Amino acid sequence: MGKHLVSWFVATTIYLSYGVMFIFGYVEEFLSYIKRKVLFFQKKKEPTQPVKKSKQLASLTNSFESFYIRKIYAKVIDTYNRPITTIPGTWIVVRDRWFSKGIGSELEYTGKEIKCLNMGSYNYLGFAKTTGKCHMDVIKSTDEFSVGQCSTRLELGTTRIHKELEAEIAKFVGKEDAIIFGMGFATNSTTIPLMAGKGSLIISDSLNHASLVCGSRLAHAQIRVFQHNDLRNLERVIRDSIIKGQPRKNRPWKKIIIIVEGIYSMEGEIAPLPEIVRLKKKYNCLLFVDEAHSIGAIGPTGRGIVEYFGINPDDVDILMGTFTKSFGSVGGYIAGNKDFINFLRLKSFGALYADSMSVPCVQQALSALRFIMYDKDGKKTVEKLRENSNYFRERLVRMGFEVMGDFDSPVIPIMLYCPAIFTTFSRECLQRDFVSVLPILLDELKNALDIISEVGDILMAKYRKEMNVDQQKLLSPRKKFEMLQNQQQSIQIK
Amino acid sequence: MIYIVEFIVTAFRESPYHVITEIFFAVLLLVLLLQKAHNPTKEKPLTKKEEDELIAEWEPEPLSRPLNEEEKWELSTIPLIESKPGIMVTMNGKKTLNFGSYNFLGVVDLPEFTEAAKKEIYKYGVGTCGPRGFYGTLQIHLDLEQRLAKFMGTPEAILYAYGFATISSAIPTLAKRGDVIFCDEGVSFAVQTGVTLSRSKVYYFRHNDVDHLEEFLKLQDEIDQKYSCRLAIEESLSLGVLGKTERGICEYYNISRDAVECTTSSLGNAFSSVGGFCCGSAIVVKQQTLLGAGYCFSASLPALLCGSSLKVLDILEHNEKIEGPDNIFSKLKTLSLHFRAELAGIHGLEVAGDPSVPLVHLRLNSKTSQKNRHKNERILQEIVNKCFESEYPLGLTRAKYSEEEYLMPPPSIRICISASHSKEQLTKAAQVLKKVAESVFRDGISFDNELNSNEINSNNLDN
Repeated sequence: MGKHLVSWFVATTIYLSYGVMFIFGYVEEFLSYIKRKVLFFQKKKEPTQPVKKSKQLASLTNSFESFYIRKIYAKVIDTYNRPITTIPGTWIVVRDRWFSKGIGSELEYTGKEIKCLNMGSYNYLGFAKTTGKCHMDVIKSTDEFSVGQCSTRLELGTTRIHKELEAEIAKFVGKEDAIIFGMGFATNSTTIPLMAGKGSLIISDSLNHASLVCGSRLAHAQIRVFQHNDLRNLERVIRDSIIKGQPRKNRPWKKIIIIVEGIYSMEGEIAPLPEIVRLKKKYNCLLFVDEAHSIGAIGPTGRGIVEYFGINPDDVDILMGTFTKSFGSVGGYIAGNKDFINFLRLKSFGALYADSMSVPCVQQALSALRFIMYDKDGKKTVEKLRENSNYFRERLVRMGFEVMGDFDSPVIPIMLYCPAIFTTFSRECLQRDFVSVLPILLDELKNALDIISEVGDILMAKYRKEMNVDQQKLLSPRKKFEMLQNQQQSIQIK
Repeated sequence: MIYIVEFIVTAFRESPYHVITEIFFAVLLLVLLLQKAHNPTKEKPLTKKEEDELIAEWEPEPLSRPLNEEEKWELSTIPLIESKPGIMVTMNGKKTLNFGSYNFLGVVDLPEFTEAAKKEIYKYGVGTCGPRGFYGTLQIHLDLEQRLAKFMGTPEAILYAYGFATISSAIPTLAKRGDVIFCDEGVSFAVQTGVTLSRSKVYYFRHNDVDHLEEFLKLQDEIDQKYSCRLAIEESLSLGVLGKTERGICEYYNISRDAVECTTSSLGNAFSSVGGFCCGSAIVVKQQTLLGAGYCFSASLPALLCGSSLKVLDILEHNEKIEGPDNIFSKLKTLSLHFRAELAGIHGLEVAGDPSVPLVHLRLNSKTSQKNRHKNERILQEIVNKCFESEYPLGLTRAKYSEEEYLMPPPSIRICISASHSKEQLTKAAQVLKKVAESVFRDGISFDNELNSNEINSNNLDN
């Protein structure tokens, strides 16, 4: 996405902020150490029994981890894991918590409940609601099939609803067949080991999600990493790997799988899929795309990154996605050709050992999917998401915030860098009834933007205010790809 | 300098050939030292053309191959479930007596169980739209964690969204590279996954052999006298089944829960829901809130599954006040003993497992077990199919395992007894099983390689 350059003043304040936190942390540690020693000496004055030297349990964390958790993380802990008491829709009610004895101590509930505009949940298409056809279908399926199947998919856990969802999602993404699992994380970690056995190579983006890393570690394959979204680096890694072969054995690799994500959840960036597909075809590799955030969220009809760039689904070997974000359910799916999916059905750890997905969750994903595919408003909802994201992003960029990610992506990270700033930003926004999925009403969006602007001014977090808006930044990856294609075509004509 | 020249001149006068030879060798040494060193390992780098040739020559395997006959058959044995997995389950269009679902407590048929889940759907919808760190923490998660901690008698508990992910995320937070794990050979696959991900040094001790474990611990003691061990137990199948108040294996043996650092369990078995939890000391649980991969990087458990688990906790707490034969643990024990007694003398099969446990594995005995695992699976599946087609249809399943298991269990039919089963149902089921087993081992089964009764009974060594 390009280097993030901030002014000297801002960079100094960021380092200063971290420095102050660490210095204060170490000073506090030292003072507690002194206190413990003083108490120990005081205790020693009393006659005590000789203490038998017994074995102790080894510590679970190393000393730096322990220090960081108790002195640094403990000070910002109220901004994470905020409990809510309502459905994670457009407006949520957050239970207020504050430190019981000064910042860094245990959190306690103040008793206050704050109603906030929710832009922190992954509710892209607004399926988190308790009305409508999806909801009625879910209630009906709970009555018919109960909550859990008490079995695995290979034993007594396959119902017709599971099969229907598998068929629909395969049709939606343009593949022959699909298999579903009850948890998105487990979808990756229990199936990647079967794709990449001994003698294979996994080439993974450096910023891939923990589930992909976990699955790659469980596989018996070797792993190589390429720089995030850096295609030249990717090409070099592929070429080196094919030429050198397996380390120590010097045999050629059995297969090479490139693993990338559609939209990266922490950066909001869209992967340059057309170039990756070109590389994959050139070097005869396999491609796995994790569409956890892009399925249902990008593309004219929500069919994900493959539709967004106009690529043939057959060019991507394995398409993975989750039902958590755009479908308001849980779980994940893998789509591919029939032989591959049947292989996963028989041998993946998820199908053999993990609980079959809960039927109400399957039904929610199925009803949401059918709405997107067949309902006349399905396409409009996806369009609205894109319009909202782009409007929000453009306004933030023009305000002068450092915004990461690409246009058309519904994930919008605002870079604040400084721990003091991002903690205070979160607390100030909560005080103004706003928590940082996109709401559907434009007025609510404008309101949110005003709040962010106000807090950003107070905290001097608009790092790019003095600089001109980079025109390149305002283009979406799709537009850039089209411009590139037009350029290439015009060169050919000449 | 002059001294050296004088020395050489004197030596030359005494033995000229010696000095000439010495000078010759000195000059040779100088010449050799000044030559460029020969480095045999330094290769010339490949040219672009050579690189492209190597790349063009490389022929990778395809992603997948078509299924072979054994795999196609295995896929065809997966039944289609068309109802709740209660005491009766509709399987492949027929209503059968359910012995395959882990419905130990019999809660699936209770209307209040489904109502508890529906109540949460009306309040919270289905998905939580985020991980626990980003507004995915619902009030009901905190309630369920508190109730579970109280039920298990530990300071804290933590919820996971999937049973498989629970233990495989918990172990890597407790043990890392450089640590040591002592693990039973027969642990479930989820535990094996957790142990692999932890990257620690693992010692597997023989299944249930405490002496073998003690040997390992003694060796470890010699290496390092400073630290003692932590104990972690995976109670997915024992929670809700063992113990007078269904609190699992510690209650069964009358041991305090404090002796165990970390207890994990899936909510998919006795609790008839989906998800998992881990309970233990505050430090063990806090470690997982920060470092547990399945907790931090995954969407949280849907509220409807929390609601149903809370209802099961209510039922278990109500059960504590019940004494005598209606207590769930007593019922399960009585039914298990009764069922195994009824199965005594079954033709060709042996009944494995602890007699008072409601989980029964029916395996081929030493006379009928074949060397080829696939043939054994075919024989057991034939028994399952014939029980399904009998006048008193039974819903059975074979136990299915991955090839990556550390200790591959023998093929078996897994039977799960529920507290809602009646003695009469179990008696009839045992009679059906006995009749079917007799017919299979008497008449033989025909598939592609015609396995006749003589072959089955004489443990054919040709395969």
